[in-house]
Amino acid sequence: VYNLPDGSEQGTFLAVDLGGTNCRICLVDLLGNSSYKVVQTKQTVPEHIRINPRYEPLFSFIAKAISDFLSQHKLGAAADCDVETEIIPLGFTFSFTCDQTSISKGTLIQWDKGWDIPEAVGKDPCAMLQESIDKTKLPVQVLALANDSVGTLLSRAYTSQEHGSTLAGVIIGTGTNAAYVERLSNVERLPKRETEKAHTAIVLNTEWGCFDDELQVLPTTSYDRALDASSINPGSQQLEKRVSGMYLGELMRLVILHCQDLGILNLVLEDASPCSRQYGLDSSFLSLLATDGISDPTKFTDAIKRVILARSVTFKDAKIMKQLADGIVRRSARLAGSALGAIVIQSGRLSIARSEKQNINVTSVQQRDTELSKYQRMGCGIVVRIGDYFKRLATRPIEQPPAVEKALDPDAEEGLIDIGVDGSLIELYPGFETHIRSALRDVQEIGPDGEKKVKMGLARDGSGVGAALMANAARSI
Amino acid sequence: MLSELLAQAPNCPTLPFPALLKSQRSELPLSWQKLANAGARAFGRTFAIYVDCESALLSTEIGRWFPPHVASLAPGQHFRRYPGKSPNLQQRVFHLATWSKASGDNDSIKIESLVAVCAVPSSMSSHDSAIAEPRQSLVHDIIEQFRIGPEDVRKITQNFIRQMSRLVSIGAYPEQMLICCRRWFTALKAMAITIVRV
Repeated sequence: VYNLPDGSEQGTFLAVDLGGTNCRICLVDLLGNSSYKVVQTKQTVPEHIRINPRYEPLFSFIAKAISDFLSQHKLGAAADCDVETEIIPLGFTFSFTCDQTSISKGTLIQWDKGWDIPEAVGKDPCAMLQESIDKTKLPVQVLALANDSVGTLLSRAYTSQEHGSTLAGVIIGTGTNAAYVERLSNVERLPKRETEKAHTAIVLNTEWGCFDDELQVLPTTSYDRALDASSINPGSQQLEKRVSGMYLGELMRLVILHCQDLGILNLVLEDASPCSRQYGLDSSFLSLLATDGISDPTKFTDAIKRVILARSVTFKDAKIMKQLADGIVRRSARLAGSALGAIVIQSGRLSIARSEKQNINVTSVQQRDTELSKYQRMGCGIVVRIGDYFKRLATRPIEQPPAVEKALDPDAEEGLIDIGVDGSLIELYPGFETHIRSALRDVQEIGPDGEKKVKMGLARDGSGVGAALMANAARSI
Repeated sequence: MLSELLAQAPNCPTLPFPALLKSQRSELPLSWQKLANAGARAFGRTFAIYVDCESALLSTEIGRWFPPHVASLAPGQHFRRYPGKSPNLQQRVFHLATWSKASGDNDSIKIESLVAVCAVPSSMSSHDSAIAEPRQSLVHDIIEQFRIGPEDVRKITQNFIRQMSRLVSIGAYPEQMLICCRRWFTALKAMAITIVRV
């Protein structure tokens, strides 16, 4: 049994964040007053390890990194631990496609991002890591298979001053995903014995990047089609391909090339320009274009020249690219806002009164049933469940006036819907949240009044602090 | 040429060109921007211009006001401009004008005969042999492709809610169906046995 963070959690945890090309080791010290300290180190995983027929080199590499980290910080008695050594709990953020069967177990479905270790497919990442840790005789126990969006939600719930109001964790960076708190009664897949227990809400990982892969409603331009066709997963992750930073850079690149063909831009790209390479541009270029270039046009065009390696970049070129980037990012943000709006509505949180919120009694969390594995493969990983928050919602008499009306009092933060956000795009792109909010206002069920209730705050380091919080939760099972 | 084009659009509303440029008459020579502004005032952003270059001299003179790719058109070639959102927008309108040599002053272009403004039938939107788009309009066109309006947002949100509801309940439906079928089968079996016994 474990609890959703309320800021009082304490302890020292390790977190391993494996994704992209780096392996990050974090020591997270939860201080118990909604604050924490993080010490970390990062190592690049060599290519011969990322592409290897056997999994042992990778997990030995991680174990070695943990061992070095512990020695450096004089923690644990690496290699010499005895039974009295305190075991350090570890949360493992493993950013590859997994079928998670419990908070501490999962099965690797496939590698991506250029990784290929065939022997690991079908195996439990936590078990493989624990195996190497045990071989190295480290006093570390892998307790949680973490997910960055769930981690973002937990991290926000821990640090938020409005405890109990956190609804979702949203990541809009290189990739995009969200996790949110769902009413347990809505989750029909759960065994009846689970739903009969006191828990009334659970955290779901939406994997919203794959929403509307059928393209029923998502807007599609010729650039989207070109991007999708040349991607490694055509037809998949359609929302992500319109929202996340990795793809926005590529969309911008395709638009620039098209503009060149049309004679809209005067600039001349060098042979080595990143615009000549697929995924040569990332969202940082869009952030650069979003900066104020008018006050110093020369500096602005020079910065563009440096990034895209181009000659003859005029200020007019720069202004045109700025407009184009704004159009691409505005769409990204409004799509993210549309998806967030769906979460807000689906959660039913718009109609919860403060009085009920104050009674939130986050209680028990327990390991979910393994029968959920199929469900999780569909993209919804159930990680934790919280107390009777939604039970109160479900049992509230219908004839009661909607509590949201009380929450509209401008002097009070009643019915606040707290969203933890993380990712370079939402953090660094000017006005991104504004566009998200404009989309929320456009949703009829939310409107301007509902939008005011949504509070967004940075939830830093969901894959580090969040993983530590998950380990903390798993420890109490 | 004009009659051919109009023949393809028999049901399109037309507007006499002088009405479009009434306020511009005294401001000749007419610049590209003025023409565009007048069209925009009358029809919003979605209008286009058809130009028939009747003489080499006119082509040269047009070059003073129009982008180079227009000026390079040979006499008799046609230039159309329609910066609308998509080729099939029914509300797209464009105006047709016949330009002729300016008399006297080489620095001016006089609109000798102004022909018509009409809605573009979708069937006409595809013959783009000599289309040339001014920079900013094209940029606007690209940005417009990325625009999602309030109605789009509502549709997307509703679709996502349906997807989330489906994901939350996924797996329950087939299993419940199976259980239901089993129960029906058991009931029918019991009924059949009872009937046989009776």
